[in-house]
Amino acid sequence: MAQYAESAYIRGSNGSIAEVDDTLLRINPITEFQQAVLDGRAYSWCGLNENQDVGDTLLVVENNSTEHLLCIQRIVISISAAGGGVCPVFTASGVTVAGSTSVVGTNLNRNSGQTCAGLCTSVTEETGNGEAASSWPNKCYMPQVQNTIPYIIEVNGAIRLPYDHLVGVDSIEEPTSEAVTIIGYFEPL
Amino acid sequence: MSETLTIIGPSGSTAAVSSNALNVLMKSDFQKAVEDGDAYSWSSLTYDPDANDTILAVENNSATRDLYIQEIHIQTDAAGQHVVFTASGDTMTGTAVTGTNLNRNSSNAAPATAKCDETDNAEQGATYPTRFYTGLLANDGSICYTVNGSIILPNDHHIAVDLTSAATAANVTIIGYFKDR
Repeated sequence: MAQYAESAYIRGSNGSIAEVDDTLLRINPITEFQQAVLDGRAYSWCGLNENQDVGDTLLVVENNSTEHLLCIQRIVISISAAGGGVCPVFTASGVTVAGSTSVVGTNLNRNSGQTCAGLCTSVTEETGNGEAASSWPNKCYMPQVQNTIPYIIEVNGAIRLPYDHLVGVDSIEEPTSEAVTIIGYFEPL
Repeated sequence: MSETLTIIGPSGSTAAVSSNALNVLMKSDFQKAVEDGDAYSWSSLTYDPDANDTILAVENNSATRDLYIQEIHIQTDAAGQHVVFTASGDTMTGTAVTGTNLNRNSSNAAPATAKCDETDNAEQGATYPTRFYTGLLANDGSICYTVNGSIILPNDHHIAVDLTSAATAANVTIIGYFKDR
């Protein structure tokens, strides 16, 4: 049985007080990704105007940080290929990343002066990995991507890459053009 | 002996407990911004873009509030690649697009400049160095990127959408909201 009553505000470290709408305490859940965006730790890597050769990987992002996990939030895959095709999304490690065009990550928080230089390597038309030859033993998704219809995979941080591990996107068909976007964030270990 | 704690908000309302559970209301930053009259839609009218024209650009003009992007919608009648990118320091030039306040109870106007067929940015000449999304669309294709506030633009920064091939009819809609820094 309650002996006495006390009223309380819920006050944050910035002084803001949680509102009560009618009789409902207002809450705003923040995901790990949203916090990473606010902190300036989230990036987008996009290929541009690509036309890959047979067997090339469309886009790769490798974590080069020993102090962070690279967590993948979203992958968008577009290919121009009659009838579309399967685009394996896979991981690998220990690869000497090699490709035709380096991709610079864009910080999603333009207030942030942070860059991902030194934290990762990203290239299009990647040729260093041999995953296709072994049927992608560490594949995460095998989407059937339709011709010129972007396929969006909401990963929500469920692929987590330690140092020297990468995420890549292949196309089993050879497209005449393609565009892949990978959104991810660095989570301190 | 136990104590009873009553949770009250700054307006004096008291949180309820029913069926042995604290009653809560999930309200995102976007929903709060809509409620407060700080969320807007910028939509371009259909126009005929050349390759690498900027279909729509929206620039934040507030020194005290950031512009958070919620959704980006792209439609085109011609197959090709689209690029969603950002830049800063440009003098926005083109056909003015007025933001529509999503809360029609509010008379707030967006502290932003939006232009259709924006011509001042030179990102295409630099192969779009700061890209958020790239993708391919078919004839009469469309895509919606729901980014849920994960793109944040400070003062004098803008978000924009280009098609890298010519089309005859294209539209872009950008939904966003302002939040104090």
